Amino acid sequence: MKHSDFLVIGAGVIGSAVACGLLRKSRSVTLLDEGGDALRASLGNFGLVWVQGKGQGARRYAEWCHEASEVFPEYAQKLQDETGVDLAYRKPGGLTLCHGEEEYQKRTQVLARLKNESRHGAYDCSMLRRQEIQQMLPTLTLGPGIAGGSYSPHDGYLNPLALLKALHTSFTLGEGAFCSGIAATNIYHEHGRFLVTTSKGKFSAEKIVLAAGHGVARLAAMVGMQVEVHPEQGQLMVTERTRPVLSMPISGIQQTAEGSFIVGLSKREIGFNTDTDTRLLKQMAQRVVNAFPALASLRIVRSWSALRILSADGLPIYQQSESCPGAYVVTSHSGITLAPLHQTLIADWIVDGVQPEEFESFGTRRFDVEKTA
Amino acid sequence: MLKRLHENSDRKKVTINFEGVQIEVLAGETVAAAVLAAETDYTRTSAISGVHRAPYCQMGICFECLMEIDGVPNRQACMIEVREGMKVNRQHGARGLSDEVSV
Amino acid sequence: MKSLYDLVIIGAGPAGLAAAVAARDFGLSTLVLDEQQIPGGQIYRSIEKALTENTPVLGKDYFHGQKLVERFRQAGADYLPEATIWDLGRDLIVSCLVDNQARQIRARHILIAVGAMERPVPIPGWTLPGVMGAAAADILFKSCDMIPEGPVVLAGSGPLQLLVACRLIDNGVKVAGMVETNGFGDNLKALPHFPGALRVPHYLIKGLSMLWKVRQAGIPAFRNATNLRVEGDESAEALCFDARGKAQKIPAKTILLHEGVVPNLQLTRLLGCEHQWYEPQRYWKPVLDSWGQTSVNGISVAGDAGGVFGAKTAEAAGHLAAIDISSRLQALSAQEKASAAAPLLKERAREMSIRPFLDTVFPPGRQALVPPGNETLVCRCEELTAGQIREAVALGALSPGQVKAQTRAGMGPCQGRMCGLTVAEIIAASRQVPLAEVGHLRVRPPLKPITLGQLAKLEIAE
Ligand SMILES: Cc1cc2nc3c(=O)[nH]c(=O)nc-3n(C[C@H](O)[C@H](O)[C@H](O)COP(=O)(O)OP(=O)(O)OC[C@H]3O[C@@H](n4cnc5c(N)ncnc54)[C@H](O)[C@@H]3O)c2cc1C
Ligand SMILES: Cc1cc2nc3c(=O)[nH]c(=O)nc-3n(C[C@H](O)[C@H](O)[C@H](O)COP(=O)(O)OP(=O)(O)OC[C@H]3O[C@@H](n4cnc5c(N)ncnc54)[C@H](O)[C@@H]3O)c2cc1C
Ligand code: FES
Repeated sequence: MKHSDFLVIGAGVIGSAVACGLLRKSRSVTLLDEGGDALRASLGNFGLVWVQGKGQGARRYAEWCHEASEVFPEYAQKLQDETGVDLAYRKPGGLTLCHGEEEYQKRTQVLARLKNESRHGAYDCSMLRRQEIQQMLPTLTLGPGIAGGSYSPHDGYLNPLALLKALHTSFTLGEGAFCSGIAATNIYHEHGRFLVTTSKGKFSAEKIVLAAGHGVARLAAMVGMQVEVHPEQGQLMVTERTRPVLSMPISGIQQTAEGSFIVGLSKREIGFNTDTDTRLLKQMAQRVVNAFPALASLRIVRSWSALRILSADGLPIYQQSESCPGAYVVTSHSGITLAPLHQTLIADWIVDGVQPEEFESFGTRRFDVEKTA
Repeated sequence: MLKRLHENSDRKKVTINFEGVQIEVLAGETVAAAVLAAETDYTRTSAISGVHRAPYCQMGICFECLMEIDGVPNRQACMIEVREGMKVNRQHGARGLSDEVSV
Repeated sequence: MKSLYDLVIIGAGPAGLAAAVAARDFGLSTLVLDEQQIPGGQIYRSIEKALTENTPVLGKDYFHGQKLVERFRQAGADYLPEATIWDLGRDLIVSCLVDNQARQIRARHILIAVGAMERPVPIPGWTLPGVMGAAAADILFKSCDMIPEGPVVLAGSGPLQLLVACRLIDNGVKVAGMVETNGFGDNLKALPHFPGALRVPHYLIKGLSMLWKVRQAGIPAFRNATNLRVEGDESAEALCFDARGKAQKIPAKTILLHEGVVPNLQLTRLLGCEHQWYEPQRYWKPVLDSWGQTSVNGISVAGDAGGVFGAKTAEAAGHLAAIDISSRLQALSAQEKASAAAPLLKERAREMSIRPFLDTVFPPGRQALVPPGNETLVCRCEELTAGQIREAVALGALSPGQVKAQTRAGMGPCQGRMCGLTVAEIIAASRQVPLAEVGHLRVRPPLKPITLGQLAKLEIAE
């Protein structure tokens, strides 16, 4: 049986970031992942480090994303220097385009509300008209249907696959024990310790972190926690490599460091299904062509879908088990954006028990409140 | 790289423009074959390291034969037959995007 | 053109053509789609182009195809050439690109008859201009009346390699070497299958006469060659290898590689059909019943796409699939089905009897399956080496999908057609597990690139 101080279950971007964070404080961290290609959000996402528009009606979440984006440049640099993996992180600010006047008005209202809700009205995102946006994107002509959009200087993007690889590399370099291809089956809490049975033998640990994405609810129940997450499918398409023409990420369109365009941001609820739907792909293509007519000539080489891991209100869940103290659930949407905070504040909380400020908005208690209300 | 077995075939002759030079080829040939028969060794440079590459499979599988044909980049030259007046260029690395192109 | 057909056949090779002719006989409305300009598939490629100059060299088999194509032309099936299939769903909607336009066609049943492709042969230097597949040379010969410039070296193993060697000899091309990666040991292993092969003696006679021709031509021949690599600066200059106990080097202008042929699985993988591992030739093939029906409702496979068993088998299988589909669509009674099928089943069994022998005499070379060195380029599109694949495995990647996420292997325009098998073999060898446990890349639409503009204008079939 392998014993360690900390055992993290799930080596997606969230579990991996937390595990790297734990390694700063302990020499004894094990990271388990069952492998398999399906249902892994960390392998299929859009790679935005994104603030604008997030956290309506949830000020703490809006701030949480903003804090992450503030520390991201330094975080990415450090991770890259340490591992030699190029994250292709850039922070030129980001745009959300509005197709038609109606979308423009709606977006204006959303941002006004976020500004109202923010501390001292500090929400930093502005509405721009078509010409102003065109000036920001001198190399691509906007389609006539674009009324304008919103711009935030805090937004950026990276290669999410490189981020995951860098985290795995960093964890291995830091002498963490990375066990790939091992699925946790059961968790027992005995004499203050955790015993985990897996597809390949038993593991034990003083503390365990459940970061198993869509597998988190099942595991949480074994340590006396009721956690609910549901899948929401998002589809993406990627094109052939193209010489650089778009220097800023746009919600739904970006040009990667390799030169391919990634197009995305659909939503549908169809359970644990990762098939793509041609009708949705067509709509996505239409929006791209409407935004930038020149992109119509780009060849799509692949489409795919991945499943967002969403709690009932879409916010993260960070919670320690009350009945089995030492067991933690860490799950969230925007796991790319939040990586630096998961690696620092969340890891520190798990090691030292010091909860980051105003954390109740991310605990499971909030759902009890909703239920009784 | 390739030789015609019957240079004096009675098949129709077709003129295409390859890298700015007019070459005479035979109707029915694929662009990839016609170009390789014109003492060409490579047809594209790779998208990452920029090395020379040439058609490998001749049947639409390997995507090594990507060329710019009639102004459209990244086309599979082994799957397209020559046409009179066709303009063919090597594909150099990743394609560009001019704001006017739109298919 | 209709928007709904009883049967849509993808691929106009012997399997697809035979199926179309039979389906029309039974009265099914039938559409045949193929990305080539004219029917014929690989073996009967360009048969209607009537490159008459070629006829004596191509031989009798080729002209069997001419009759098949003629029957197809008269059968009254709709035929859409230069149609690229980019998606196919379990809802039996075919998405294709014709004349730069994306469109969808619905079917009651679909027959996949897309044939096979040459197994990629990753050895050092195989990306240099001047290196091609041996079957590629065959395609150029049939469709363009061209042959590669000599001196040519052929390397690898397989009947097609022999066939191409003969073609070069017949056309006066200098063949500087025939370098086989198989050897006498494989002949011995195949011995038990020899009696079976005697059921179709004409194949054996054809094989022997080809061997005889190569020997008569005085071509330097090597067997059990290992450590193959292509040398050259900007293009291929020589093939180097070890054989007969020492290092060899044959200067050449063209190097033709061949390690057999593997089924084209893009469509059956996309549909999520069940597949099985075929050990003798180390490839995957879809699981089919004796009629060609896959594990997915409404989807059948015929010909080399279901396992590489040759043109005559493909033709019989296409015919059988059409009989089965017609009976499923109630165009044929059970009795009619049985009596129509009986001679074909016999014919197919006879044709198949050569396969165990062939597949054992010509196993894919070990070096081509798992490149031993780290420097060999495996993913041609993203320019990744065997060493980079091994590094990803060391960092915890267990499957081709995870290797892809770490390295980009399989993300380029060919979408893993060229590297998929090799990556899986490298993972299996590094992890020391059976290949079947490693899995394969997931295939997603579009199978062939379509533009954002074309997709945006697609008319969705209701
Ligand atoms: C389409 C899409 C686009 C997105 N775009 C963005 C974006 O632009 N920016 C952003 O910040 N976020 C984005 N996200 C969200 C982000 O991808 C997720 O928040 C993040 O990947 C979640 O990471 P995770 O580690 O929780 O989940 P996962 O990646 O799913 O990892 C969970 C891991 O747990 C393992 N596991 C499960 N059960 C077990 C078990 N029993 N034993 C062992 N291992 C187990 C799994 O194998 C898996 O590797 C997007 C998501 C989607 C779907
Ligand atoms: C390159 C090559 C050369 C060969 N030469 C010989 C030979 O000389 N002698 C011999 O005995 N055997 C040869 N073989 C083997 C022989 O081709 C097969 O046994 C036989 O042709 C199988 O017939 P089929 O109908 O299954 O497939 P094929 O004849 O391969 O026909 C498949 C058809 O499907 C089409 N197709 C494939 N994918 C798509 C798609 N996505 N969309 C639309 N159309 C598609 C192709 O264009 C092709 O016309 C060769 C094989 C290959 C790969
Ligand atoms: S040569 Fe392989 S795709 Fe054209």
